[in-house]
Amino acid sequence: MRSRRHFICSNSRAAILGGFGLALAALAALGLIALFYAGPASAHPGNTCDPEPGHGGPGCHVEVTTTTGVTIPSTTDTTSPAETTSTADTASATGVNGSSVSAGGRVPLGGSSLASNPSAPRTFVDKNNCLSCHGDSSLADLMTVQRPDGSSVSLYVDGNEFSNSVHRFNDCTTCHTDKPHDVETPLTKLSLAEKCGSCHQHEYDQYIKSVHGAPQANGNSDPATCVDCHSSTSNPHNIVRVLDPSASTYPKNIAQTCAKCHNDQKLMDKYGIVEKVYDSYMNSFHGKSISLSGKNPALQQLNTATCVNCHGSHNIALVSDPNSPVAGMDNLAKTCEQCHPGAGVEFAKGFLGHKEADPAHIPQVFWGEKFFFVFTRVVLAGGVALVAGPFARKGVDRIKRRRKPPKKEEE
Amino acid sequence: MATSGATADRIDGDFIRRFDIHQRIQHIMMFSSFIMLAITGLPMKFSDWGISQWWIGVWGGIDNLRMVHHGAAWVMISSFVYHAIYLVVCLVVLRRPFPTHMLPRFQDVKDLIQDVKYWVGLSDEPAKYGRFSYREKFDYLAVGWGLLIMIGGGLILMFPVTAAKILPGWAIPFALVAHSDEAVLAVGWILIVHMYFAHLHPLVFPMNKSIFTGKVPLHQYREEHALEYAQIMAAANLPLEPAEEVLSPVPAELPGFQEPVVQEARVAEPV
Ligand code: HEC
Ligand code: HEC
Ligand code: HEC
Ligand code: HEC
Ligand code: HEC
Ligand code: HEC
Ligand code: HEC
Repeated sequence: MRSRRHFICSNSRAAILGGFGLALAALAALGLIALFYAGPASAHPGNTCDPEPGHGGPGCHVEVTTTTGVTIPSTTDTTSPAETTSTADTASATGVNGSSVSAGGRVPLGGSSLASNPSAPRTFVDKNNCLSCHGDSSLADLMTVQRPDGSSVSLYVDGNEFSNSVHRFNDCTTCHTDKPHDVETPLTKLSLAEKCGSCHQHEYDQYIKSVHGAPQANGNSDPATCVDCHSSTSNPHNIVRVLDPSASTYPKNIAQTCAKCHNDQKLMDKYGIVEKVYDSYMNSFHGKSISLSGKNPALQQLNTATCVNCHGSHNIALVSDPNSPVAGMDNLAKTCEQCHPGAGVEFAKGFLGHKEADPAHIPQVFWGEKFFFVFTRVVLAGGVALVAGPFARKGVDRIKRRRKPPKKEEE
Repeated sequence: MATSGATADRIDGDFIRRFDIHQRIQHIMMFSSFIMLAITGLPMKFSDWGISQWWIGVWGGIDNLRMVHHGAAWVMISSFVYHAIYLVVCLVVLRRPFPTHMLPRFQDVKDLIQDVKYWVGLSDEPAKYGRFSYREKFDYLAVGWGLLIMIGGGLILMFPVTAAKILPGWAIPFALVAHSDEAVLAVGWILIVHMYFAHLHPLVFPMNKSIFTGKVPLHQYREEHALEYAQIMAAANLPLEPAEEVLSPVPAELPGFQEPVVQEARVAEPV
């Protein structure tokens, strides 16, 4: 007798193999497509500033405005005898003050393999050897100044961090004057911004009118100052280039930087900001897109919208301010159009913002969610019943049959 | 299309031909793209899960994942279009009523009720099906509805700016909700129902190969489509119960192995 089993198998094996072969071919084709599309990204590691329309990342802003108002200090003379590298004692000091990414422990920044190695010694300028005192970790505990409000500020400056900072060729005295001990540093957020603004005039001018800068003059230090955004530890001495993958302003990290304050429920309640802006952003298309972009910074596509693409960075305004880039559908549409060419008002109207859909805000989506919530569960329950039915019957039959045989034997 | 009517030439040795080459190709396109879409789409929906993040990392980031998702979507759309053309050719050009067998009929409700009775023990015999059982019809029509939502929603998400030119703005977030919820439903249905009937059911375990070979073993056809089986046998002037050496014995615990009922039913439902 010809074996049936064998017949079935041999006949269908070819078809099954063929099927899987086709599927594999399809997978391979898709893989190729993916590679093809991923390829260009590696060719332009800095594609956060892709000039192509639709890919305008934050990098483009930087390029346009960066040099405005910056005075190049004479101290960048690299032949200066006082130029130094971070020495063994400053390197060993890293452990004391902690490394730069311990910002409150709450919002770790996405580190990266390409980021400059923090412990690598780099040249930097310290003409007056200020770090012999301020960089000595053993003195770190002693060197503190009392603030008028009673809090104390450490005068320790981590030479290791400073050697990686973008200002490493700006001698201490270009920011601190030739006689740093003669002036009492006011150490407020405003004084800090003013100090930065002495060189970065353009950013300062924008900042001081912004929702973060304007309250400072009234002594309100809740809103952000320069270093709150530009340093993960709010330290003026470890600022890195805004597009350095380890920078707190790097597109992948900026949401976490804003979240230091905007995910702080107590602080936001104080200002009546009700929206869960961080969570809603991270759940949005743009947020997922940025947080799930590839780990290798050279291959990351960071052309998606971050907080600062929609709100601005130095010129952030109240969202109720008619000049805000997110106020009103016309402004909002223009904001989207930076990256979605030809978007138009209707496109912007479909934007949920930081709000959940509810009966008042895009009700169609709210009811759609409700409908699909019920619909999916009902259908899946039907599917379970469809399988459970025959399953249960078969089980019951089997139990019955198992009980019967002894009877049959008796007969 | 030698597989459309209950004709004698459907019999091919120990098998009955059930799917023609187009249906088989459509199915391969459908399931390969479906799997790709599921494994690239679900991590985007459940992106806060550790495993999703690991998986997206394997692909080198969400951009690559989205590219593959879009590519697979085009494969699925092609299979949908292919099927639509297939239906039109079948109905209009060849004038075969075959696709209309997929439309639900009152008999399907009666079959379902009969099956429920059987499951809960009110009856001792499950329903007998013709060419397509109510479950197969539901599967098919649900895929149809699902595809409309997935393709419609997917195209809106793929071309949001263009979509906003034609549709109201809320269509974009709505499409996202519909697309992702319907996807979970489809994956759930496949995992529960399709997995059971195409792989785990004792008649076909470990896998029902008929969608690849196009052919179903006689004994299996007699179980699954008793009514059409009877018609085909009648058309071929063959006895309903084939000789022993042709047909290996079916394990007795299989449901619905009820010879006489088949004959009654054949009388009851002529096609
Ligand atoms: C709310 C956060 C925030 C504050 C506050 C802030 N910045 Fe920035 N800054 C950014 C971001 C984000 C960028 C990246 C470029 C962009 O998106 O505009 C940036 C870019 C820069 C640049 C690079 C060039 C440029 O303009 O794009 C400089 C220089 C700069 N900031 C200096 C400052 C100074 C000085 C202050 C204080 C007066 C300050 N920033 C306050 C967020 C901030
Ligand atoms: C001999 C050790 C020593 C050296 C060198 C030194 N400092 Fe200081 N510095 C101190 C001490 C001690 C204090 C705290 C006492 C005070 O406020 O005068 C201090 C305070 C400061 C303050 C805070 C001032 C305030 O009261 O708000 C600044 C800013 C400062 N130093 C900058 C510098 C700079 C810039 C240099 C290099 C040009 C430098 N220091 C060199 C010991 C030193
Ligand atoms: C880019 C400008 C800049 C450079 C360069 C710079 N500082 Fe500062 N430094 C600041 C600012 C801004 C503050 C905050 C003071 C304020 O609020 O006015 C500060 C504060 C300090 C303080 C007070 C304590 C603190 O941490 O707030 C010390 C001490 C200090 N700097 C030492 C140094 C030393 C030593 C160097 C050289 C290695 C240096 N600084 C280089 C800008 C700079
Ligand atoms: C003495 C003038 C001076 C002061 C004061 C100063 N900077 Fe700078 N800053 C510079 C110069 C010069 C550069 C460019 C350095 C380079 O390209 O190597 C720079 C670069 C930067 C960058 C990087 C811009 C980029 O292209 O990525 C940031 C961010 C920045 N500064 C922020 C600040 C902040 C915040 C402060 C206040 C704590 C500050 N700066 C104070 C001179 C200054
Ligand atoms: C795609 C554009 C977009 C992005 C990205 C975005 N926002 Fe917004 N944001 C808006 C719009 C539009 C509004 C006003 C409507 C609303 O509140 O939803 C708004 C409102 C706000 C408000 C005021 C909310 C209130 O309750 O008054 C804050 C604060 C805010 N955003 C912060 C952020 C932060 C922080 C991020 C990054 C984590 C961010 N936004 C990312 C568009 C955006
Ligand atoms: C140091 C804390 C802090 C950081 C960091 C910070 N903000 Fe703010 N922000 C505030 C506070 C406090 C307010 C409320 C100011 C007020 O209303 O007077 C505010 C207000 C705002 C508003 C206006 C909200 C409204 O009610 O209309 C926006 C938009 C905003 N921030 C965006 C951002 C973005 C984007 C970032 C990151 C680039 C950021 N903020 C970083 C503290 C911060
Ligand atoms: C900084 C650039 C930028 C800005 C500004 C921006 N987007 Fe986007 N957006 C992107 C990128 C990049 C994507 C991913 C597109 C892709 O790869 O398909 C995206 C995707 C989207 C998607 C999902 C599209 C899809 O493929 O499913 C929607 C919806 C969207 N954006 C809406 C908006 C709205 C509404 C605004 C204005 C409030 C806005 N975007 C502003 C860059 C931006």
